[in-house]
Amino acid sequence: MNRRAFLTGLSAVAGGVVLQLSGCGAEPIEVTQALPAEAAVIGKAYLRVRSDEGGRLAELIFAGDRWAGVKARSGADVQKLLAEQIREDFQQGRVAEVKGWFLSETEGRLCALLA
Amino acid sequence: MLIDRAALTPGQTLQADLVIVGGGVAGITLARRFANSKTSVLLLEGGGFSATERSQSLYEMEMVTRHSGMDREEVYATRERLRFFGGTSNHWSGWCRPLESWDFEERSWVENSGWPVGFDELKPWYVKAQDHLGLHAFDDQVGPSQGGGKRVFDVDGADFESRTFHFAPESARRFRMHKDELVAAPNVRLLVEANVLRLHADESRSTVTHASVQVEDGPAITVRGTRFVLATGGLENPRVLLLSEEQSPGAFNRHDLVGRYFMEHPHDSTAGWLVFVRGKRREALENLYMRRPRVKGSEMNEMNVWMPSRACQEREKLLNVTLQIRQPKRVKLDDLGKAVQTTNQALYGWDHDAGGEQVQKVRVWTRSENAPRADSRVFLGDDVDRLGLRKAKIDWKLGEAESRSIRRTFELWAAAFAATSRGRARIRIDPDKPFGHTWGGAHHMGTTRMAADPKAGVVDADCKLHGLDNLWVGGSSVYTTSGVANPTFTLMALALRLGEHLAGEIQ
Repeated sequence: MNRRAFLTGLSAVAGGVVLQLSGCGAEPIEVTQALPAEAAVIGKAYLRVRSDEGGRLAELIFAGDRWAGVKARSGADVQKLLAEQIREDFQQGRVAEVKGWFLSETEGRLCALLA
Repeated sequence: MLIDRAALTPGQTLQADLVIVGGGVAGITLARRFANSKTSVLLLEGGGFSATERSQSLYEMEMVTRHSGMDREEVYATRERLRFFGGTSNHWSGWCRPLESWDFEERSWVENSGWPVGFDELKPWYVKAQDHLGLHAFDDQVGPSQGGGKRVFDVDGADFESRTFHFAPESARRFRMHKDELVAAPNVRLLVEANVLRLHADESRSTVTHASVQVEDGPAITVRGTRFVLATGGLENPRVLLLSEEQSPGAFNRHDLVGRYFMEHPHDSTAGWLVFVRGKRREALENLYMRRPRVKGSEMNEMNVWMPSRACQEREKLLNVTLQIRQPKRVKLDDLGKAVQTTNQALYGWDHDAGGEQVQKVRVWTRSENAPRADSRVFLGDDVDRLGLRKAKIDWKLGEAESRSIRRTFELWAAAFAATSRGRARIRIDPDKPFGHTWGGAHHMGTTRMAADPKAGVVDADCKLHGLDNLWVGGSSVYTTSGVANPTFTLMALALRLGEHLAGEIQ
């Protein structure tokens, strides 16, 4: 799957973001499904610190190599990949301080999709 | 024997091979080293055998803490130091841990760092101190109860390591307990309520001739000795030397270093919060990182803290800092914190891992090394005490080195913790007021710092005052750098080492 096809496969639905994985023939996957409603609080706070990211959150989240050849077929698969990316963010210093909380950029952006 | 103060007469002279000024941890440790030997020892203690307001009042001084353009003034030291037999061990909570090996090194990123002795030289004395205090071995990075490895929790890795503090039991840490042993020793004389006013040097300024002593409700006397050890604590040691310098200029402070490089350990008990999943990790985190008995029913306690590795400190140019977690009280999460908790519960199944049990919220404390600075100092003020001696004043400096080290360490640790998917941390230190909630641990260090060069330090590697052939200093005032461990354990190791050095000299 190439990145462009991937990104055009994202769309907002009520309360979430749907990912259409082109080439997998799978059903659309709601990437924010696992997040509770309270995540929007994080998202809003994150956007106050990183206001420049507002229009390209999904692009930033799914920009890494991890997503280039993704074979994800379910929400659980995507969830696992996102969790890995969040851990990697912390390991590699891709961290945002939001009102004193240290958040991974990926989780901040995911939450911001709900904000 | 215990000298009967009532029998002393004005102008009387007492004499001994070894005169120890100060009956605290260092002084008592030294006196015990020579008890029942052929060396005559005179141990002078300013207070009696219990705390009195009258004695404590002689410690009164003014401290100004300066940082970030803010000054905080307070009357100091009448609670922090105890002026009676046993000294500050009388309220010591028993925290013990050696300094780290790199604390002794000259670190390119820490100005004025580098002791003239290394960890390896001190290590055998740490072991002896450990035996004296009934502690477990510090041979491994963490306590033996963790299996001897240094990896205690997933946070530990390249950047962070766990360190164990052992707590000296009550039965071993109150040094007043050694009174009977010393009084029974035929070669040791103990004089209490004996205020040493000044030391005096000969005309060549190379030898201490005597100490002038004012006995409480008694006469002024003279104490002569072949060798003197000054062991009155990190604030009084420089004060006595500075008062002595007034009478014998050029003998006790010839390079204007006495009192300078004063260091404390800045603590912040409101530095942050940690929200973490308990679950199966309870043994590995909650118990290990909170003070607890090592053996059920035992007085012995130990506690782990996190510390950036040496490599991390060098890479990030950090002072040494520890983080510890404390009991989960009074942690009330804000809305963002609740959202972080809820989101992590959803993302990582915290509830599932915990078997439906709760997530834990604890406070995070920080403690930092204090950078050695020449203008952070103890000096003599204009006010005088009831003995007519100028009171000390303290000008304690904190700055960017400490605030940046604390914040960056917290940030790195929070990320390391979050990478485990087991917890999230929040820093609560205001970047504009980084020391707004800082307090000291009554760890007074550096005021007679150790250095090989007389122009860089007050005492040499043997704790002998540069330029004087018969005066040594005991206590944490000789520290070149503060490290981040409580000072008593190291000062005891240094006192044991000094005892051996003096024994070698006397023979």
